[in-house]
Amino acid sequence: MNSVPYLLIMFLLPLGGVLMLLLAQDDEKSKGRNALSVAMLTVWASLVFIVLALSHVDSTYNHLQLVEQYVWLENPKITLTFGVDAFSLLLILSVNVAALIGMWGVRHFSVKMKSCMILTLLFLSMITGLFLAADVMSFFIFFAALLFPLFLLIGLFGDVKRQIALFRFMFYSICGALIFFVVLVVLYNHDTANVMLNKMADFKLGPKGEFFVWAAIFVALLSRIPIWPFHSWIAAVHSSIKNPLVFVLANMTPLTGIYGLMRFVPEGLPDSLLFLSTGLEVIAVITMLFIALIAFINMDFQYKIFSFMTVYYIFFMLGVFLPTSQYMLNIGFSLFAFMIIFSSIEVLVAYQEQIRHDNKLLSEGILTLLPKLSVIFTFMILAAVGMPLSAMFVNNFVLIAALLAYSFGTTVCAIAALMLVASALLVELYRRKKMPKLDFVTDDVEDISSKDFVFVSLTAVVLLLSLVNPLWFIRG
Amino acid sequence: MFALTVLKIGVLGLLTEIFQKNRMVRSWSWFLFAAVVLCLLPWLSGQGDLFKKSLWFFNWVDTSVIKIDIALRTGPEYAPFIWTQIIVLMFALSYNAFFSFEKMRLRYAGLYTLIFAAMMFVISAFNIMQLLIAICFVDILGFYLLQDIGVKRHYMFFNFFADFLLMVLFALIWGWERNLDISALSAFVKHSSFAGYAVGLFVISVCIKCGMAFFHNYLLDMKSISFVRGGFMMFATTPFTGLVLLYRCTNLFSGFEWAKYALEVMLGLSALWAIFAFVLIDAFKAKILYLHMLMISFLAAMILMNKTEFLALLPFVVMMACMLSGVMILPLVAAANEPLVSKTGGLVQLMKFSLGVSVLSLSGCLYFFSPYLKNDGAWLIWLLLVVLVVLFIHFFAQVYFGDVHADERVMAVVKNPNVLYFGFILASWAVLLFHAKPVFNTEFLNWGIFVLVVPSFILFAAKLRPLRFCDKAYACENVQTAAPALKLFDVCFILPIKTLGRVLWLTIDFLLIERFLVAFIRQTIYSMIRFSRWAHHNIKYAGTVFMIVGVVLVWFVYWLQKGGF
Repeated sequence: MNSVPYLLIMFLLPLGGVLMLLLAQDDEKSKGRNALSVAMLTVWASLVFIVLALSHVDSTYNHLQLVEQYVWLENPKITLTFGVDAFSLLLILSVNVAALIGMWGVRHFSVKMKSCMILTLLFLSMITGLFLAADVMSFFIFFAALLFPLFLLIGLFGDVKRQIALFRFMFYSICGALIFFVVLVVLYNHDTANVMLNKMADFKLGPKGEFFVWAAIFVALLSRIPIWPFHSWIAAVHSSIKNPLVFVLANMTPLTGIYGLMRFVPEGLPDSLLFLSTGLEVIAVITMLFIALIAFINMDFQYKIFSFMTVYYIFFMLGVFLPTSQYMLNIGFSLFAFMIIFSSIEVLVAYQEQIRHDNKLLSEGILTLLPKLSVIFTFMILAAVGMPLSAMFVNNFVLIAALLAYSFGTTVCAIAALMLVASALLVELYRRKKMPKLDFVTDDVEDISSKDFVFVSLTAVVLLLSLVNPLWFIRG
Repeated sequence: MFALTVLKIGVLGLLTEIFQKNRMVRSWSWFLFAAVVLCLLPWLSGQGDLFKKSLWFFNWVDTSVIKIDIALRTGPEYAPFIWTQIIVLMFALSYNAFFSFEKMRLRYAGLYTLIFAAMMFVISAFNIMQLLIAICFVDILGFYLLQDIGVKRHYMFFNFFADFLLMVLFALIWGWERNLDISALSAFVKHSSFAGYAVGLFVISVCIKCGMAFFHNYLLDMKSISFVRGGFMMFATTPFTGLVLLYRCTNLFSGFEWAKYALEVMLGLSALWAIFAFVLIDAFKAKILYLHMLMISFLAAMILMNKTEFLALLPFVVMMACMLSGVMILPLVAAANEPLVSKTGGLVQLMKFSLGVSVLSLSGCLYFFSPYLKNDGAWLIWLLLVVLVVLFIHFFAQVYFGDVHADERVMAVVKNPNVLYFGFILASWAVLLFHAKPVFNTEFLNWGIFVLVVPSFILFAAKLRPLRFCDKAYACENVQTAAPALKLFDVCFILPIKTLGRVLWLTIDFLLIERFLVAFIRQTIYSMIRFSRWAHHNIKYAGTVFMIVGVVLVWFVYWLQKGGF
């Protein structure tokens, strides 16, 4: 046990924030500003602890560090184990930064702010717990628990079609969680001790048992990723969310699936599933191409962002076919930049939609009326499509190289999907930057405020720093 | 020394970008020009280390997976490329300081210097990662040199595809060789089973970057910007990175002769396209861009031939291109910025001095390149010189000797442009003459032929107007507005992708998933709910059914325990 239980603090801090939020004043006068301030402060505090924890972690050491154990039940004996490496800390850092950007995006909103912030912190606590979990039981608890705040968030902030969206979301996610639960029961029945995540690959259950357990784990984890033909369900959820913060949080769920895959199979697919690898690759590639093609014709920018994210998530997921422990840090850094980029884009799009709605404008050419926003939005889109403006560039290069060496055909298809989805973003960018018709021009439109501009510019600086020196805060 | 100079220039550019002001723009432009000249002075005066080997080295990323070094270095093999960039930078900054073509002069001046610094990283890269990143940076900075959204759009799309293909190519090489060094390319093509794909990717990337035929539209869009910025974009951004790429990665062609032939065919097509378009297209600035396209095809062909004596000519060819574009801009400026050649004609009476300088400039180019006409592979230079003479005779014939088509008001203001316009032309001319080797043994012959005979021939041919039948093309709307390459891309790529996306969306997403799968699950759940309701209400029948199901289950478990299947 460490002298300072960093991991427990990281998990409990957002819950402490929830308690503070329950006490925060929320009336007509404050318009949710108190709630937002408390929530943002909590996330900032979490960020401090994450960076502190990062400074104690050796990035060259591939095993879990800062391990902490907490006994939950004596009979049956269930111990929650927390442990991290640079990869999981990077993911915790990225979800917190993305949430912070999302919070900044909703700071002018006033409807149900307190509920929104309480559920956001609850979600952050759960997802942090998931990334800290070092054993299967802890992993499952957080894997299932993070659905609860998300369900409420979508229910509260979804649009008119939210009932269908909620039904699909819950059906899809709960099926995955139930399958995982069955795995947990099987594992517990086989060996009463709680299995550590990094020992899962060595766990022996006999050929049939192993096939069942691994297949179930894969299905459960894949249920968090919008894999074809269930992608449209998740798409329905995402396109129904207009609140940027909730959109950002909802889009973090695939991350849990990818993280799970990386943790459970750090050295590539288990032997019992090797014969399925072609099928998995085919499904992954079909999903990527399918979503990218539809993104190319779909006019809804939310859908394009969703497609962009999904294609990239599946691209990272393909990393599971590699000896992931070797490339974990590359995937982590890439995801770190990716989360910042997509949350910034979502916040900036939400701002444009607000302006569009308030001034009854078309989205075509809207950026010509918002020059400051246009500059930063263009930067984010260029970073998103893969220009060397963030850590995504070098790390994606490494991943593409490793994947090309693993399977040329699959990777070529994946690259085609990445190019298509990037083109879809570029097309939308230029549609929004196109000179508007004369009757469209109005002087009343207010550009992004200086405060907002500085905030988003700072995220751009963080991205650039992640390119220039991606390892500055990590030892080793 | 070299790294320090690049750093100084980069910082100057960055400071200009950050602190650009609307006041005293002219003075600041002058100040920047002077500062850059001061930085480059050791090289310009021939005392620098440009031709000596020097190396500055920085260990950028060092992990167990990948190690990336950034380096700046000089040596005789890089000098022609560096000189070319110096010339283009001087051309752009001097025009920027002297003239008011641009509203945002300081912004562009800052970007010119920043692009120069980025280009030095491209030229002196010795690993593929530095090459890739520096090329991308040049593209991004070039993107900010453009204002028109249509131009930006094409520029970004073409470059994005080229950069992405390059990234895939280099990732393939690194994944195979685990070595980022450019020298690893030869080992890769020897051993890798994917070498053929890699070479294919490389050829496409170079074609896009150099703006060769069918990939040139994004460069032609530059006709809407000032000719200085357009020239800079052609010779100091993307197309030039294509040339450097071609030079540095020639190893990829070993064992893949087809790729070399493919490139040669593309270069030939580009040159032909540029020649025909120069003759047929009406706009002055479009003609200048086609001239640049021709020059870039020529430079790429020179690099492909891989002859040292030709490589040394690189800066002079670019200087010639800049000088000739300066020559072409003279009538445009004189005729109150009339954008179309067809709206000029008969300017010889009012612009004798301009015509004289123009003809002498062309003759100077011929003089400079004539000594190389005896070398091995000289057909390329022969071809270029003949084509240039024919094209410029046609141009002079239309603008100076053709029938007057200009408006009376325009004709009233036509006069030789400001003397400053001749400054760069004459300076380039002087540099070419200074570096020229005499063609004939006697001074009399040299001067007599290139100052009297050749110019007289050019003027005589221009007066005859041998290609005047081509003037009809100016009146043809289809010829002037046609963009066959873009239409080809639309038909071959964009339309199929859109159609496929739409069909998939309608058939799979909407019909199969939404109408069938989702509806099936929904109906199943409703059926279960109905069954559950029925089971709770009709105890008599439901009880019997459950009992039967229970008995079947018990039997099934018993059967399983006995061995089952």
